[in-house]
Amino acid sequence: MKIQTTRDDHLIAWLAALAITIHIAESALPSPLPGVKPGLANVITIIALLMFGWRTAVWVNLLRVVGGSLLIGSFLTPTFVLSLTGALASLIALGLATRVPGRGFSAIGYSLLAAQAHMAGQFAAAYWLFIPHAALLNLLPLLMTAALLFGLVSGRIAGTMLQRMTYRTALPPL
Amino acid sequence: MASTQPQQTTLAPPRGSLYVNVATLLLITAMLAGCDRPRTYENQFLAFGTLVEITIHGAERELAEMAFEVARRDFAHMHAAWHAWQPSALTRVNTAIAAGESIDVDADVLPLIERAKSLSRRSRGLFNPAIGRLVELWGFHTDDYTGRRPPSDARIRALIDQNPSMDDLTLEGSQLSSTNPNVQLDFGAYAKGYGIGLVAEHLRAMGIENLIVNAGGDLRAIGAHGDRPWRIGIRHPREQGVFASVETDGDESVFTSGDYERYFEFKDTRYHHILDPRSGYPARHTTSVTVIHTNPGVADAAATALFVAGPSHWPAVAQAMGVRDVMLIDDQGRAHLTASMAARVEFEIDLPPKAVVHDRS
Amino acid sequence: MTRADKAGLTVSLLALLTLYGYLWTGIGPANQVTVTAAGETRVFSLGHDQRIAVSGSRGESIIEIEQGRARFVTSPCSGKVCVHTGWLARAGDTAACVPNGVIVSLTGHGKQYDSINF
Repeated sequence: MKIQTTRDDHLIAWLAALAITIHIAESALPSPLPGVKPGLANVITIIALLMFGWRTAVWVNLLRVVGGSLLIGSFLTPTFVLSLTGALASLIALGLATRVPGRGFSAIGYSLLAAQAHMAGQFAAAYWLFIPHAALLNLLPLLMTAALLFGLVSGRIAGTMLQRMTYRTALPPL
Repeated sequence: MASTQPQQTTLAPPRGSLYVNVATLLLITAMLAGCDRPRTYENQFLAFGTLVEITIHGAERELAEMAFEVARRDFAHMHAAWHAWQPSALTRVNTAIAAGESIDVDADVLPLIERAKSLSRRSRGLFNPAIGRLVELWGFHTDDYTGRRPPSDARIRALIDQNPSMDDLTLEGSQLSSTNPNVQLDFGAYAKGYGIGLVAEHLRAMGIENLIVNAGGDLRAIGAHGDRPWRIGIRHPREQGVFASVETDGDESVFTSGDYERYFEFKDTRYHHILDPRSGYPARHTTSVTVIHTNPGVADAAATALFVAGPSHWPAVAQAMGVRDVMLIDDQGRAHLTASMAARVEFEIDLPPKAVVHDRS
Repeated sequence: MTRADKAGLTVSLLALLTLYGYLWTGIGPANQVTVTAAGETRVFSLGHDQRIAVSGSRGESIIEIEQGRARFVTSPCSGKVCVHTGWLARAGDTAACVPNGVIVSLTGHGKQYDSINF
């Protein structure tokens, strides 16, 4: 049996694979604070968003979360739940951000929003589902600061990558 | 998946890594909650017929716990000694005065009488702890106000005509005698101030440098909360919540007398417990008076005296009592403040439609 | 950076500052109710609405938690000072039924005032 795949499927798979690679590489990095990671896979989501539209970004990001967790072995564990909540929050933020009229956001703005929404979503899940302790709120400003910084960094990376990429074909937005 | 197997062993964090993460989180949480700064310890208990709250900053936990226990015992002791209508050292004094006998006053009560005598004179008799019979007549010697109605004018007049005053009392050593058998001591407007002062002093002697002793809303604050001063919220006399705040400096007491503390209503009129010793009726035209002073007893007595003095006469009485920081809220909701009080009060809401600053010059 | 980017960054920075101000200066919301009766202390979350019956020395006081606030609904005392205190909403707010020996106070992340004068 042969499954028909479209060009879009390949594209999504390709981007998702990249994102998963980054995701896994990052998960092996030591982290100064739990919950603080550069979130470089965010770069791929932003590139997918800007080159191929929000729907592609959704696919790529969700595949990253599911695929990445399967490979790491955290599928359906609390880590996965946190990761998924973060991804969903950032996708919702990006979806809303694409509706901004005019020139709208560039890579850095999208990345900033995505990173912060990701952190906020993840924190909310951690707080409500796992550790509903008031003192945990003390961490929130630090976590959001980290999200802001990493959002700017990965936005910068995504912007540079987009600039250097040569568009061999002009793909219509999906 | 077979090909990813080796990868998984090298890259995947050990199973249960989440729990490691959660543990770290909890640890950091505990650290942030626990040992970021010197702790503030608080304890609330019911004593002295009211809610007492002790706040201690920057002392060891054991010492703080001990202090709470000491404060609890002190308040219980004073409550028993100074009770105005249940058998106490004070009621024994009152019984003797009524019988026209002189009495050797208990050491717990003696300083109360001495200090109240001088404060009463300085307040021009507006702070008058000798009117216990009047307080009793109005029924403020019980907590049950159901179906309460004001006493008859004639009975009030009869008590006022007897003119009970602290000046009727003579002290020789601890021997007390009265020229007026109608004097009945009730330290409702002073005992709390004096008591809070004693407890705070006791805790300070135990080595606690930063503390607040708050009994039923009146308080003495000593020291500071770390690198910032203690912040005191002043509750709105009519609505919920805090409407103003002050920061205390060094050792200061903040006392408020209000018509909302103990009162009953009869035919749409509010009869509260702050009686004007001249008329025998609840003092009119004032809603509340807040006084800040270094001596909690003075602050307590002055809050009552200035409440009775009312919106137009309080500045003179404040001066006579040596009280600088005063805020009076009148029955129109206006705030009257001394210049020094206006400089330190921070209004949290725009309550006072008009704030009148009285410059004593 | 586009105009939207700059706006996004500005809003993020402001939000972050607010967050620090709100969570690190101790002016936070209350999140728990501490109920003390007969020397026994119980803690409830302000998170879910409920009515709590507390046995004091005179009888039962009813405490209501609703929308992150708490209050005395009834108490077996004559003065009803506790009921008149109304809703407690901020960390540090306290109401007590002295005759029944019941104290209700809100505890939370931080208190705006160290002590309340009234």
